[in-house]
Amino acid sequence: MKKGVINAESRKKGTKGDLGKLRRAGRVPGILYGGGGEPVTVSVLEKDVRSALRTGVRVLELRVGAEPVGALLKDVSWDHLGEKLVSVDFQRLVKGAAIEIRVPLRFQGTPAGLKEGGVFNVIHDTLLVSCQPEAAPDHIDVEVSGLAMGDSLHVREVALPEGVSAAEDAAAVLAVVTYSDKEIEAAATVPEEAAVAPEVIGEAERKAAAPGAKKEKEKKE
Amino acid sequence: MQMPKRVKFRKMQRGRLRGNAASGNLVEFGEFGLQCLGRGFLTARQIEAGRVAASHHIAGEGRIWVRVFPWKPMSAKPAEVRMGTGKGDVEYWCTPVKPGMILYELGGLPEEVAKSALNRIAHKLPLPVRLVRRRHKI
Repeated sequence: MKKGVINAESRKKGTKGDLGKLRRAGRVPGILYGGGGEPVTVSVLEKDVRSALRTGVRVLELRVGAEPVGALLKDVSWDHLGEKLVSVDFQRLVKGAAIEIRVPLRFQGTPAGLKEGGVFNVIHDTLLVSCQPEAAPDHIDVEVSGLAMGDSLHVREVALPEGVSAAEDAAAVLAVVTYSDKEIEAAATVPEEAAVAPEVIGEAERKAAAPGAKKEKEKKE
Repeated sequence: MQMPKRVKFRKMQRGRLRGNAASGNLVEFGEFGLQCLGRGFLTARQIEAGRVAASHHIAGEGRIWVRVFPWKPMSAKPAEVRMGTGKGDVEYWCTPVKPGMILYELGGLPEEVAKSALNRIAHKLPLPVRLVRRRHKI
């Protein structure tokens, strides 16, 4: 995996207003934690984080002041539209300790099921793997040309590089060749019912238990 | 038209639409999504019109996911009726949407087809929307 460098400044734990000022100045508030050390609040340039995300850099050297720290870009939060970065999390790397990292999957080939009118439906486009920071792959190539209609690609079927193991359930489904909407609609033979009001939960019981209903029952008897 | 099968109460208060979408704002199923930029109510008819427009355009290829469901009953009084005598009957079902919500998703289609299909949906909706792509999770 490509290694990057991000310059960070330590910051004081601020108020919502302080963080807003920071963001308006083109910086993103972040936190550096883990590795047995105390959490440190930092701020980094937004363009640096965007660049790391665009180029797929996750393992990086975080320069807080004069001291460089090995860190993993652990998480980023976006605003509601997914446009602006709200915060960023870094995890300290410990020498010799394995990390868990999400690696993008690159699906190679065209699934055989597509010729039968299927749709290649990607459920997870990344895989959580456990490895040493220096062994973390940029991406994982997965051959999918053998997938027929209805076939699924599981975590256990992904060939991982040496020193990398999956940190997800081996039976988890990553992608599936499913039926297209045309076939699903053709298979659905249930006629569309006329719009009626939905059933109100407990209404029938309430009506039956009402005093008026009891009298009517008695009259009938 | 879509509506819930069972409800706890027949009618509901309108409520207020405040804030932005805190969930349902990521493309989760397909490759492309239609993200709402405005705030308002989408009726069951509008949601269905959008789905049909996209479905006809892609002619059964690929998959469409509709991420919103009209769960909220809207009542109204008939025209020329004096105020009072209780709440009106349920007129239609809708869903409140907030900026950021993903309304529809498309998968298994080339980008150009997906773009034009989502554009057709956008013309059926009363709110501003935009196309977004699926983003890798970190």
